[in-house]
Amino acid sequence: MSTRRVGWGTWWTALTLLGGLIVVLVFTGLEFTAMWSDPPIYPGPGVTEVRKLSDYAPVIADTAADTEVYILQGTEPGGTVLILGGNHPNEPAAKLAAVVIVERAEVTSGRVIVVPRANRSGHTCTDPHEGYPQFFEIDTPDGPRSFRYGSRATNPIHQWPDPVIHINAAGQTLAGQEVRNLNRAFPGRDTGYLTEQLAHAYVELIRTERVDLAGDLHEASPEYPVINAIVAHDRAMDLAVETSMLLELEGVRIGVERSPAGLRGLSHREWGDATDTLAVLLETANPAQGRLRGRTDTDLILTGQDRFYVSAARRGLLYVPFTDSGHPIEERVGRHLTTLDMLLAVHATHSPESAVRWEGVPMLTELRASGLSAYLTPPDPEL
Amino acid sequence: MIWIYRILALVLTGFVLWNMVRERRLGMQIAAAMVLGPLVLRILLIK
Repeated sequence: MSTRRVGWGTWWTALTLLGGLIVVLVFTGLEFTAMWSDPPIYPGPGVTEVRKLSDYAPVIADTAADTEVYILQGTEPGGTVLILGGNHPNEPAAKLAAVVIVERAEVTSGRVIVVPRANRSGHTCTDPHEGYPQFFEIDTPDGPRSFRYGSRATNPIHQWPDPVIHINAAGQTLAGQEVRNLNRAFPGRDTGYLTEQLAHAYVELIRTERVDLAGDLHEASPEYPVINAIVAHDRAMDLAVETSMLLELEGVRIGVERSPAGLRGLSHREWGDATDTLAVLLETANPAQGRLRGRTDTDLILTGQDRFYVSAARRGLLYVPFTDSGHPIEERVGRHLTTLDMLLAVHATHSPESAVRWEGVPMLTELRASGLSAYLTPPDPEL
Repeated sequence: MIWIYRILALVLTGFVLWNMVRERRLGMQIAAAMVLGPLVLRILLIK
């Protein structure tokens, strides 16, 4: 009598596979949980107070959406400016520009409020199908500073599942996954999805702090029509146009777009409609976000060089010039900081009583000459 | 709400694990191991 053999598996093969599974889980688990850490930002001498966004909307307290709000109060009276970086955490120059302000700026008149990680939850995941590195590093004289490359939208761990169709607080019908996009959620709802609560918190901040001018920093792919541009709410158009003209005189080419009245939920439209602030959004060209890019690695994020975009530019397919020198991170951060500086200068001429002036913020020419690392605080190994 | 998914993942993990060690076809054991990974991550890592 013989036993019928049904396969090659035994208790031992099962246990061996389980052992292998545990090894795989340890490594993948460590890599996965590493995304939850976000390297520190070092407040510079100009930071007078660090608050939490939940101070303005308690509904997001103890959630993954709550984030630091850095206040830089000047010695002279003046107005208040809000600067958001990291609204879309996969747009690194936007966050880095805000980080440089926190670490370097010293406000002399008025007050600057900076939120470098506007969508904190989006910094805890990375879009897996895009092949982005989870972190990128910038060398400083005392060692590399590490930064997270996050996802465009809120982490689905923190807000799930997505609906099939989403109608935001402004009445705009959107595809379901846009329910986690902070820049489609304004003016937000205090009883809505986590991302809507986060959007509501920013509108509350603008109202509570009587923000005169609010800038939302972004990046976009080189084939996106609104690029190297200021998108301005109707009431901020004069400010944006004058800023653009003065920047052109300094050799910084930048366009102006009117915030579309028919596309609701974006910061420049809803902040301007829901509050008294002058709302603008700034865009730079980030080839790492584009569909035409080649290898997606730290080099692409930092140098912004990509031969496929050079080829696309030759064929007239892009909305920005694109040569072999690409669009390095220094240029993109520098464009944001130079544009913000000019916006402050023009705003001071339009409304002298609410002028905001700062020092210590590097401009495009300085960043091109010295590199971004010269303006980042070296990493503190104890943090 | 998240606890419902955790408990569901725990029950499924137990079911797959039990069947994996009873299973005598190597291919099915490998398939079970591949299913177990996401289930265990769901229980341990997803907040």
